[in-house]
Amino acid sequence: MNDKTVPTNNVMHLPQGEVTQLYWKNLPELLNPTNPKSQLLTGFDAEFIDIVDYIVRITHRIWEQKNVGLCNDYYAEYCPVHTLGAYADAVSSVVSGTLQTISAFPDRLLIGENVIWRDLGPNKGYYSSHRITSIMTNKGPSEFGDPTHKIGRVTTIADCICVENKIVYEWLVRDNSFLVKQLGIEVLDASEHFAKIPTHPKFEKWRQAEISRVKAQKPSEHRWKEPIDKSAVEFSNSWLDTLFNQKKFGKANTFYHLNAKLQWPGGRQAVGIPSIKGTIIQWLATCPEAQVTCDHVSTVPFDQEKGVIDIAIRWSLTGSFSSKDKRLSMYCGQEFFILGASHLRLVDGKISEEWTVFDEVAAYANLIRDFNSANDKSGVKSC
Amino acid sequence: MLDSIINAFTKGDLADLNAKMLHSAYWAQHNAKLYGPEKLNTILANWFTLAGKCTVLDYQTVKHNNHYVVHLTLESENKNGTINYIFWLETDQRVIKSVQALVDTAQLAAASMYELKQISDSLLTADPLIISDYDQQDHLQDDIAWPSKLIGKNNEQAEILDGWWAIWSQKQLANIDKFYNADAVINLSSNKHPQKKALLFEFVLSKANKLTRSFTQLEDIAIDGQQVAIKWFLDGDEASTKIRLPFITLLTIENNKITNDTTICDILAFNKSFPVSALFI
Repeated sequence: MNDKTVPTNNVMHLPQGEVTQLYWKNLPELLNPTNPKSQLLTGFDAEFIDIVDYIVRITHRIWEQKNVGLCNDYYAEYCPVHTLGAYADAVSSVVSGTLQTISAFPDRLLIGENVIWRDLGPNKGYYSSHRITSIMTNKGPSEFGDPTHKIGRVTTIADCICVENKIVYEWLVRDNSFLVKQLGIEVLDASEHFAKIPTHPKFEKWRQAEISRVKAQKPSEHRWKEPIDKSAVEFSNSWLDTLFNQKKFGKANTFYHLNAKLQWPGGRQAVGIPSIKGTIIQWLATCPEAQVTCDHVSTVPFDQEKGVIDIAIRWSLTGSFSSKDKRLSMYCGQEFFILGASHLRLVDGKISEEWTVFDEVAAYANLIRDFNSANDKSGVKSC
Repeated sequence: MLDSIINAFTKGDLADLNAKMLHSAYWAQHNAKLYGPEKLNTILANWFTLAGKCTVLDYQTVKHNNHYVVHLTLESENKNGTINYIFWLETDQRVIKSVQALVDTAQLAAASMYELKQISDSLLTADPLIISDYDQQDHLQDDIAWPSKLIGKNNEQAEILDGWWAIWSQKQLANIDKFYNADAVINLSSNKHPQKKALLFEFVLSKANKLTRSFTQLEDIAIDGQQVAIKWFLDGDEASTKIRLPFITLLTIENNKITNDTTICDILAFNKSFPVSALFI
C-alpha cells in the first residue's frame, strides 16, 4: 500500500443513473419495481432492472418466502462461498446451509440496508456488497448450540460476484458475537461449540493461504480492470493502511467527522473521534502486529447533490494473537485471521457512518481448532 | 408526522404511524433497537400498560433537513405529574427511516401505579454494548466535537450553543448564568414539574462529581429558528465500570439567551444497563 496516499475531499461523483437505492424505499416498492431497466444485466432474467433489484428480490424469495430451492437457480453449480468459519463450493451446500439456518431461526427477517455495487465490465458481471440486518428467534439447534428461544439481531455483509443471473463467488461475514450475546450465550462458549464442527478440507488450505498472502501484503487474486472512482479506492487503502497497518491513530481526524458513528462487532458502538480511536486501539491490542490488506472496493453515490457516497470494502487481517483475557490468553502467539467487511458513508470526503462486520465467534473458534490440533499429540485440550 | 405520533401514543392508533414506517426502519428506545413489523406494537403495548391513556399538555417540534424532533409533554389520567417523551425521527417527511426515542422513565414511574421494579423489569432488554476504553483528552488535536464545528461558526446560534455545551463538556457552570435567561424554564429528568436554573447547576455538578474521566459527545444537532435539538451522551468511569448515558436536549433561544431547556435521559433503562451505578442515587 502507498503510505503517502492521503484521503481526498475531491470525491468524484459517479453517475448514479436510475440504479435502485434502498435507503428511502419501502419493501413493496422494492419487490415490484416499475422503473425501466437501468443496467445491461447481460444474461440475467429480463424481470430484473439492475443488480440491486436482483440481489434484493432473490434474497427475499430464498429467505423470507422460504424458496430455498431457488438457490439452485440463483447460485452457480460451483460457487465458492467463504466465511471465517467454513467453506463450501457446491450449490447443494448452499441449499443445505440455508435450510439449516432457517430451521434454527424460522422467522428470520432479512432487512436490506444497502447494496453497494460495482460493474466488473462486459461479460464479467457485477460485484455486490449487501448489508443486511436480520432479526430472528432461535427455535432450533444452531452452530452455536442448543436452541435458546430468544430473539436476536445480527448484521451481515454478503459480497457476491454475480454473472448471468447467478452468484458465482461469495464472501459472507456476520457479526455472530453480537448475535450470541443476545441469545444468552458467552462468545467463547459459542466458539468452543463452533470449533467442534468439522470443516471442509479446502477451508484450512484457504485460511493458511490467506494468512500468508496478507503477511506478504499481496493483493487478492480477485481483481478487475474495470475502473472505479480512484479517490474512493485511495481513501479505502489509506484508511486501512494508516489505522491498521501503521497504527497512526492520530490521523483518525483525516478520515472521520467529529461526530462520526461507528458500529463494530459484538456491540462496540462509538461516536466521535476519541471513542472511535479507542475502539480500534482496544481491538487491535489483541493482535498488535496485525497487518491488513484491502481486498476489494466498491463505491456508489448516495446523495450526489450533497456530496455523499457509500464505499464497501472487503479486507483481511492477520497477526500474532495477544489477548490479556483470561480465557483467551492460552491462544497467545497463534495466528489470528479476520475476514472483514466495512461499509462507509462519506460526507464531503470523510466518514460520517461506519459499519464494520466480522465474525469473532469463528475467529476464536479457529484459534481453538489450531490449539487443539497442535496439542493433539500431547493430549492437551482447550475445552 | 406530529399527529401520527400523538394519535399513536394517546389513542393507540398505530396504523397511521405504522404506515409511515419503512420496512427497514428501526425504533430505538431504552438502549435497544427494534426492527421488524412488531416494533411499534411492542413499544405501544408497553407504553399503555405503564402510562395508561395520557393527554398531551404541550408539544414542541424541531425540523431540520432529515431530522424531525417531536417533544410531547404528557399527563397521565391520574394527573400525577407530567411525562416528557422525545422522538428523534429520520424522515424525508413522507416516510420514517428511524426513530430514536427517549422517555423520562423516572417521571413515568412517578405517574404510574406500578412499582419501580415492575417498570424497570418491563423495559426492553438493552442491546449488547461494548464501550471501548479511550483517551478522553484532546491533546491539542482538535478532535472534539463542539456545536460550532458541526453547524458552522457562522450559524447565529453557534456561540450560545458552544456556551451551553461548555457547561456539560467542561463543567463551566458559570455559563448557566451567562447564557440562560433569569427566568429560564428547566425540565430535567425525574422532576415532576419544571424548575429554575439553579437545579441545572446541581444536576450537572452531581453527575460530574460521581464520574472520573468523564466525556461528553455530540451526536446530532437540529436547528429550527429559535428551537434547537441536540442528541448527545455522557461517558465516564464509575470505579471499574465505564458508563454511557444518552441525552436529548431541547433548547429555546430568544434574544441570545436560553429561555427553555428540556434535557431528558432514560434513568430506569440506564440503571438496568448499569446496575452498580450510583449516578442517580
